[in-house]
Amino acid sequence: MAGEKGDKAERLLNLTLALLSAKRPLTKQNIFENVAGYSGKSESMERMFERDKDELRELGIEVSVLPIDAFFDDELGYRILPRDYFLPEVSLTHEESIWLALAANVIREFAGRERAQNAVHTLLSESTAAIDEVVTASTATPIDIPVNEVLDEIWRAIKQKISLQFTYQSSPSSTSNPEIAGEQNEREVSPYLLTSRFGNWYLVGRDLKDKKIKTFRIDRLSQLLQGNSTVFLDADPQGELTPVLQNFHGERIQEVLLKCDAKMSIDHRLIRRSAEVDEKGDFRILTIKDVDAVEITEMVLWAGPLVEVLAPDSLRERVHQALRKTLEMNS
Amino acid sequence: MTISPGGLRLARLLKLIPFLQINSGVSVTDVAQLFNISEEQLISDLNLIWLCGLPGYSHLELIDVSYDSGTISIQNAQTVARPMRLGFDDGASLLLAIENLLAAVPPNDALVLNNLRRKILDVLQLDSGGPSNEKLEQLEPDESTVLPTIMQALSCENQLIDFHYYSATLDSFIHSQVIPQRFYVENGFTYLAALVMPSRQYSVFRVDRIERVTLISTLIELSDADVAPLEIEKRAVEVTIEIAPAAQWFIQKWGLAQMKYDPARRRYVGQIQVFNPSWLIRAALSLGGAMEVVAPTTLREEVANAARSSLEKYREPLK
Repeated sequence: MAGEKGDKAERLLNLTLALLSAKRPLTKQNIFENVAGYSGKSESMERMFERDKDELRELGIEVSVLPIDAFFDDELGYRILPRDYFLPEVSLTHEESIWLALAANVIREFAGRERAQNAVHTLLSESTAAIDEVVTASTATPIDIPVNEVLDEIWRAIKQKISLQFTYQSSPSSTSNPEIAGEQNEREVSPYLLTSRFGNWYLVGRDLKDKKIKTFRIDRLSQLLQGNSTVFLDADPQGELTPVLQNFHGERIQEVLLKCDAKMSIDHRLIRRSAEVDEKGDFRILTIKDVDAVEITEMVLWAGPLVEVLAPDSLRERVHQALRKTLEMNS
Repeated sequence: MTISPGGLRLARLLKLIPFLQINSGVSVTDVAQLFNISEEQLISDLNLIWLCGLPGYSHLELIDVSYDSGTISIQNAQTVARPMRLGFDDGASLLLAIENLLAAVPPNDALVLNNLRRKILDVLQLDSGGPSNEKLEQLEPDESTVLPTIMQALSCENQLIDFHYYSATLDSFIHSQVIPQRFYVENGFTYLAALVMPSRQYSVFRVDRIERVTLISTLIELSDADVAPLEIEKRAVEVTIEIAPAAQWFIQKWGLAQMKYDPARRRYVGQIQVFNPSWLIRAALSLGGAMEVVAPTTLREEVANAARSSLEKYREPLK
């Protein structure tokens, strides 16, 4: 079969299949004699193979060069190791599959659409949704959704471990000089990860000026560039990043007890969020588990006089103080 | 190095082969649509795959492809039964799409997108940025995502949907039946314009507050004459408020572009249009003293009264 003339994609596919299925590294001679598509003089096959190998690597397919015999490394061969080649196991639910098909197509003005679609084509093999539903989702009419391309640049910098330089406008509440509506200053940061809270994206990174790990709100970044510094300072995930993230994501309360008026709709978001609802006639006792302290405070205050915090004391006190301040401010 | 057309085609083939093995019997039309190629290109790809296999290249080693009567099946391709790794550039672009969608979609959709994001980050071996002990929340078995259902409704004519929407003003969920018309963006938020039934009146809903939707099979016939125009609320009250810098997030959350920072007062100051006083009172309570209603005084008093009424419950310590 070797020696047959064929399409380049055909030869590359045959080469990929041969190298991926090989239990031991294949020598060039093995490849030229056995893989369909290699023909001509030895030198031209050599050149063809070198180009093919480069092309596979360019496509992200790692071709390993390994000794043919484990005890002697004087003869080398080639293999694609399954652990380097295959997508790690990932299982997608029905709803995730539908959103996967939608995500790359649904934003009308999206420069990265083609690359995102490539990713979807790879992940579709892990989908559990019926194919007609996936097709319907992927062909839906795009809608206007604002896109923040800065996130993409930050991802690349995180992956490639490149420090970033940007102008940052701090919020008026955090600035040392209250005369200014948010100071603007230049920062150079080694970026580690992106995280979100209450609909905003934040970059967690080390400020190269004072070497401290900080969070920066993405919509306050401007003039983002690759940093001047060639230095990238790493962070210890457990020792440094975990405490910063725990602090950033805020306090969680394990159990909240609320007393709410029976007039409150059974469909109210506090009742929906409750693990237990105890009916007491003209009122109900709600038990809410594992909740963000800021979120529950806001929900309780938003509900107004229909709700009272019974426990924990810290939340009761927080709500009490908030109400007193509202009264003082508006009396 | 630039990837040759042959290399690009190989990348597509290595995605197609596992997909077709898992989805045996899928139609040529559907696959061509999903992979953004023509049906002719797909048939050409299938013919090429049929010529490939493992060394030996007998019927035992060649990949077996058939696409009789428009449905495709592939056998004898176990070597690539699963897809290759996700390229970083491709994965990062998909993440960018997901991250931008997260801020715009309803809570159920955000939950699903967040899980999808976590899974793609795992595949790319990147940190998720969530708390280290964060568990993936799942939708309840009887729940589904919102936006895909609305988009499905929009692709049909006059498709009625059962609609649950969170009204912040009323602090409760509204249940109605609507016919979705179109999405649009204003002040950085995505809205759905829909006809509310049975009044056939236009109304707009912020997409991120739509709680749940279900398609209804009843067919509705509508003519333009049936549709009542969008009624603009005429009784909006102009309210002067001041907001402390610590609550700047509130200005962003509600798109209050009129609020400007006043260095002299060290606060954000501005006049906003309030359609329902309930919203303002709830907002002021939730901000715990970070909002002052300056004018009109009647509304300021209503805020103070609401705070007083809530405070009654906290006068006495709990026994």
